[in-house]
Amino acid sequence: MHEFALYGLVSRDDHDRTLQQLAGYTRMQPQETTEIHLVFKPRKPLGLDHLPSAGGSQGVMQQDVQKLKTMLNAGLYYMQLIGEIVPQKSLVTENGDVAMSNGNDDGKPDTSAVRWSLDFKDTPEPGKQAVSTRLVSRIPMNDGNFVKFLDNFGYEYVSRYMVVGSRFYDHDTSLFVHKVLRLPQVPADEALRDTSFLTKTSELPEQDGSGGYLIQASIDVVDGNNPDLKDRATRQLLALKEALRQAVELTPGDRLALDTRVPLTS
Amino acid sequence: MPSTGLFFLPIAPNQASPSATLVAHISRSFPAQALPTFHLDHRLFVDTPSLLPNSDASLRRFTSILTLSHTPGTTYVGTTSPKDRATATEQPVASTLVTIPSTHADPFTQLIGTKIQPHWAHRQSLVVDNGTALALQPQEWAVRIGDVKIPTGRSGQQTTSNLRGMLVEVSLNNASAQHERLDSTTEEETELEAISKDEETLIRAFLDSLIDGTGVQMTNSRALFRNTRIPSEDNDTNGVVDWGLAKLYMDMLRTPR
Repeated sequence: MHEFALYGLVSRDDHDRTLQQLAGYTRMQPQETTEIHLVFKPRKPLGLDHLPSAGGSQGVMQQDVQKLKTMLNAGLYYMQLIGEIVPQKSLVTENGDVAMSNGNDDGKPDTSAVRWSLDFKDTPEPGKQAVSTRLVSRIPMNDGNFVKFLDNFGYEYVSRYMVVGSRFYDHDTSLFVHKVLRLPQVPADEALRDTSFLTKTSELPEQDGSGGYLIQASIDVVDGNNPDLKDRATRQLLALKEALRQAVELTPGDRLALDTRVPLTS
Repeated sequence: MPSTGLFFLPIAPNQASPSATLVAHISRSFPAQALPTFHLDHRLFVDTPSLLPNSDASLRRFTSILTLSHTPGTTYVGTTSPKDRATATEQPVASTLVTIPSTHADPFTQLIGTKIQPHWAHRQSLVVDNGTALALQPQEWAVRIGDVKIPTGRSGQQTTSNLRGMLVEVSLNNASAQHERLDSTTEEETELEAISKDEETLIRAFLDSLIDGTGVQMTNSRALFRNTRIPSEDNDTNGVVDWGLAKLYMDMLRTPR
């Protein structure tokens, strides 16, 4: 699946107005979204030193080794385990102040109300493009010990953070106005279970001290290599960009800022 | 809690599978009741570095993606833990499983094959397409028989037969001899679910009685046993997870080449 996206910034002061404009544009009330993001870093595959030095000529054997070498040297990507908080009761959204979920004690969400999925995002495709394009994959994880599984799979837990925001949908396009909150860091085996912070999200420190928000407008295309669909998605996003020009500036993302690869030097 | 025995009979190239004979014999000779078709899909990956010429194959790690007709909506993904050099040969492989919706088995397979290739390399896919599942002496025994094949059309090498062997699953739903502890739902607990020697003997004897008179020889087969969870006659298996059964199949299908 491919994701086509444009990004923009919304300052704290503009936030409420932007939400209202988006609500007007999409003719829907924002859907409050809270996600826990656990970041996993791939371990370097061992055995790169086992590689026989170049120069030997053993025919077919050599070809296999060459293939393995290419595989081993392919890019390593961070992955995330994303937990979407599913409200126990459908919360009634307030019209005005929708920045945060109301931190009152109305039905504490417990652990079972988190819907987890394994999220892979490629680095956006290179070249000057009208919209950012990248391969994405989101696999719902139903049951099991995810952290231990990922550990065996070659991925180490690094840290976690939270994303809160409002989502809008317009045909195929989803618009997500969100910000990143820092979470208390805990060891890997607790990272999944510990959700004690959910009752006091308003107290969590913001990653961006200015209180600004990010906005992402994106379209997911199952067959992203299909040129027709690619064109259509691009056209839709550019039309949206034009329509929202007065409210927010949407641009393709900085490719290197969206890089999900592990740097070679680390 | 049912006890399940799984038997894999390797079949040499150009030999026919005895499965049809076996199914016909059982349906004729026993009060058998057909259960939904038995099928499975197993994709095996090994850690890429272990394929290098100088690496120690006994330390090889595996990832399996398994879908079973017992729990059709669920796909199991299992990874084995890294092994110690000292205990590598003796220890049974401990694995950690998670479940994903079976609709995501293909996307996950693709992701591993492209973006996770420094870690994992595809090794073998095996399928049972049109197997037979029978309930015998209702509620007590269930037998599943299927031909294990390499799926065709994937790599274009169809010159040789793609039949690898016959799989026979025999499960005894011994509700009468209920274990004290309840069916475990957490995945870790299933590590303990080895079955008793008596149950193993019982399952073997039952299989012998089934194949008696068919001329099918199971002596060359490999066998694995485990306590599993789902009673075979349970119809509503959507969303149900059977860790024990999934591990049993993964352990079995990891090895035949």
